[in-house]
This record gives sequence, C-alpha cells and structure tokens, in this order.
Amino acid sequence: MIKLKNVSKYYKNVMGVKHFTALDDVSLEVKSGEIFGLLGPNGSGKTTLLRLMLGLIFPSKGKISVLGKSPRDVRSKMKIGYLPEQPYFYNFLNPVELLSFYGSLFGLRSGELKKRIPGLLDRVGLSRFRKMRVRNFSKGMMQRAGLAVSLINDPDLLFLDEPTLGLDPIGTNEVQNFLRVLNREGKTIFLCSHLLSEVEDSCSRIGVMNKGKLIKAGRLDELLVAKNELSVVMRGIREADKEKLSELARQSGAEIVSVSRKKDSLKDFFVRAISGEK
Amino acid sequence: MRNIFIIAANTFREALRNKLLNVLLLFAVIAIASTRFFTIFAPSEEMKIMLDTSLGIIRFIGMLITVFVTGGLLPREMSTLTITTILSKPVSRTQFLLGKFCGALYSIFANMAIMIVILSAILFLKFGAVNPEIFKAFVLIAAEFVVLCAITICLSTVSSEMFSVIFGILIYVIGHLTNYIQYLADRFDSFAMKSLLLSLYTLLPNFENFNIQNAVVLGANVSLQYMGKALVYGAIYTAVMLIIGYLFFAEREV
Repeated sequence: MIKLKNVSKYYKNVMGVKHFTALDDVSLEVKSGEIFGLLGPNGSGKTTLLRLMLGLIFPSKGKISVLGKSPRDVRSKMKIGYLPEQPYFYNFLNPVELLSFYGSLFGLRSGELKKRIPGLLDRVGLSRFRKMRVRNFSKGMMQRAGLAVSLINDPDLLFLDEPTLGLDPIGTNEVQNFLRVLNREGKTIFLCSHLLSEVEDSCSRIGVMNKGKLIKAGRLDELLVAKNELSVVMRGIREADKEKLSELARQSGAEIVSVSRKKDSLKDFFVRAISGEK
Repeated sequence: MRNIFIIAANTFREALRNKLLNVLLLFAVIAIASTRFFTIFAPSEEMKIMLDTSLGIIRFIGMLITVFVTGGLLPREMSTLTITTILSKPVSRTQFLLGKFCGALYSIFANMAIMIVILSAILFLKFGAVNPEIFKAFVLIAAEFVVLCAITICLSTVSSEMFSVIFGILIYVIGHLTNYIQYLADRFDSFAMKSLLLSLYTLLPNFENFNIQNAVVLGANVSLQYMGKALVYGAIYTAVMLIIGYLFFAEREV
C-alpha cells in the first residue's frame, strides 16, 4: 500500500548548498489493512514524511509509492483521506458546505453527497453543528470536521497527523475507537503522533523517528517484548508471600494463570530508543 | 475541468467576504455617482467630463481590486495551509492555479459589472441614451484586468502577498508608460542602456493597447479590427504569464 525506498529530504540554502536534512534515508513499507503509527519527538520528520507521501513536497532522493502510484500522480489521491495537524478550512463555510466542497473535488455528485454527509457528521459528532460556520468552531470541533473531510471519499488509505490534538479525554477515546472501527471496515491507517498512549492503543505496527531517521520499525508486540524476562500472573497469592514469589507460588497453593514474556510500556521503549540514539 | 470551476466558485465566495474590496467598490460607486455634480461647471462638456472621470475611476479602482484580490490568493492559502487540504485531493496544480485565476476573475468582473451598471444608469438618466462605443472601452478595460490578474497570480506563485500587490501595481503603472520607455531608448546612445530599455519595452505588458478612453470620450469610433488585435495581445500575454506561473508553482513545496 505504501512503499518508501531510501527516501531523503534536504533543504538547500540560497547558494545551493545542503544545509538541513529533514529526512535521511528512510525505507518503510505499510501493508493493506494495518494501522501504522509513526512516533517521534517534535521536529523528528514525521510531518515531512507525511507531506512527501501526499505529494505536497518532493523527495531529494529515493522513491515513494502510494497505492501503487507516485504521490505526484493525482489519481493516487482518489482513495486517500488526509487529516492535517491542526486543520484549517475556509472559515466562511459550515460543515455541510465544507464536506460538499471537498467531496465535489473527488467528483461526487450532489445526490451522493446528500446521502453521505449526514452520516459522516453523525459519526464525528458534528450533526448538531451542521449550520454553524467553521470560524466559530473550537479546536476539537475543527479536528472532528477534519476527520469528516478526510472520510468524505470513503478512502482506502487514511493519513492522520495528530488526530486527537485538541480533543478532551472523552473525545480522544471516541476518535481512537472510531479508528479501530474504520480499520475493521478495511481502511489502512497511517497515524503520526507524539502521544505514545494513542499509538499503543491503536496501532498494530509502529515506526520511531528521530532527527530525520527511522530508527525502529516493526510490530508493536515484538518491539515491546523484553528479552529474557517473564511476566507471571497468579491468582490467590497471599500478600506476605510476594517477596518469595517464585518459590512460594507452589507452596502457597496459588494457581498460575499464565506465564508470558514481560513487556515494556511503549513509553519506556520510546524513551530508550530516543536516548539510545543520542 | 470540473475542479477548476469548483475552486473558482469557492474563491469567488471567499473574495465576496473581503472587506477591503467592499470598501473599494463602495468608494467607486460613490465617486461615479458624484460625477454628475462635477458638470455644473461646464454644462456643454457634461457628457465628456462624466465619461472621462467615470472611466478613470473604473480603471483605477478596478486595478486596485484586481491586485488585492489576486495578490493574496496563493500566499494566504499557503500561510493558512488550506492549500494542503486541496492538493491532497485529486486536484492537480494546474487545476488549482486556474481555479484561483478564474475565481479572481469572477470577483473582478462582478465588481466591474456593478460599476458599469451604475455608470450606464446615470448616463441614461441624464442623457436618455448610452453611447454603445462605451461598451468597447469596458471590454478592453476587462481585458486589461485579465492580463493584470495573470501577472499578479504569476508573481504570487513565488512571493508574498505584499510583494505581489506592490509589484502588480508597479507593473500596471509602468505598463501604461511603455511608449515612454521606447522613446527613452531612442534617446540613449549607450548600447547597454538602449538594450535594457528595449528589453523592458518588449517584456513588460503594454497596457496602453487597452486604453481607448480618449477615443470614446471624444466620440470617435474604435474599429473592431483594433479591438481584435488588442484582445489577441491580451490573450497571449495572459497565457504566457499563466504558463510561467504554473512552472514556478509546479515545483513549489507547500
């Protein structure tokens, strides 16, 4: 679905000399049906990578293929949805006009739009505000409108840049659940975030970026497994026996429910990955 | 093609909310309406004074509307990042640029139409008829604005709103003085200076080609052949400006 091969992006100064490297030799593959999370601190190159995949900026080196086509090919965008970080829309439109405008750019006719728009507004929780101008929207409402815009063409591939930015915890939870529903409906999701819990809760595979490099990538459950460590879950153990856990397990007559490899939290993994780079 | 019209319609809606344009239009309407009062000082020249002043107002305010509408279109889209929400859809950069250009023209023509209707109504009420030659002047003024719009949008693909507006106005003013540039080139002996001035004369638009104000005011007939030549010149200049603008915009990162 998405293939990046040795992609670099650098900026030159007025003398034509390379003076800033935004992305350095990034290779990555995202398969159909995945929720892929791209993590990284601010300025690590996540948004640059996203903009390259959307053809908004162009790579200095390397090859990018999205849905089998170059991002410069406008046909590739027919089945792509994009939610930018802090979306800003034409503020004189209301959500219905906004969705009609963006939907018509996909060639959707008014009959089709009339069918789709109420359902979409309902899904993102903006039905009550259908007549309110976007200029009066709060940050969270703007984010919801952005999500609706990204879904107007019923895309196969969704690019979401910080989708829960500006949302309260309940809104964040709703969006995360919504992403899982969309994924179950068959949509591939590429999620950029600096919120570890968001990625941990939503994504099946992740990549970690730092200073323009992709320093780790893989399945979440594989990356978070700590080698040579086991997690033992027991039921019925006495408080006093906790110290001698492994020995007492049998003596105290505790039932061993499961033994599994201990996992780090994504936060621990992320901090270790970034500090290891430094 | 459809996307060009969708973007143009949206640009037009956006421009309708531009307060500066509304103020300029209001000023123009008041100025045109007040021309009928200037004539008390020279009753025999009423028609000429009214026409001359009103056409001057339409051209001056129309020019300001053109550069202010067009100069900010791309820079504002880029600073607010709304452009990323459009170019991430199946919209090519050509469609986007032409959509913005057409949207600006809708807005310029709508403003111009209001000024023309007011002027025609005043002339009709005052003299009982309107000289049809005046509409030839309107056509060439509109063509002049199309060229200016293309120049300004070309400038805005590589520069800020302020730069595009200032240079748009500057090119408009110089474009009305190109005959003087040629005159100056003839007077210089230095080859370098002569070449520079002749290059400027060739490259800059000759907006005087669209100026038939004096002929219309004096009641002369402007031939359709002249009109045709001026319109073809305008169409070629516009196309060249749009192509240059596209070449810059196609490689511009947003």
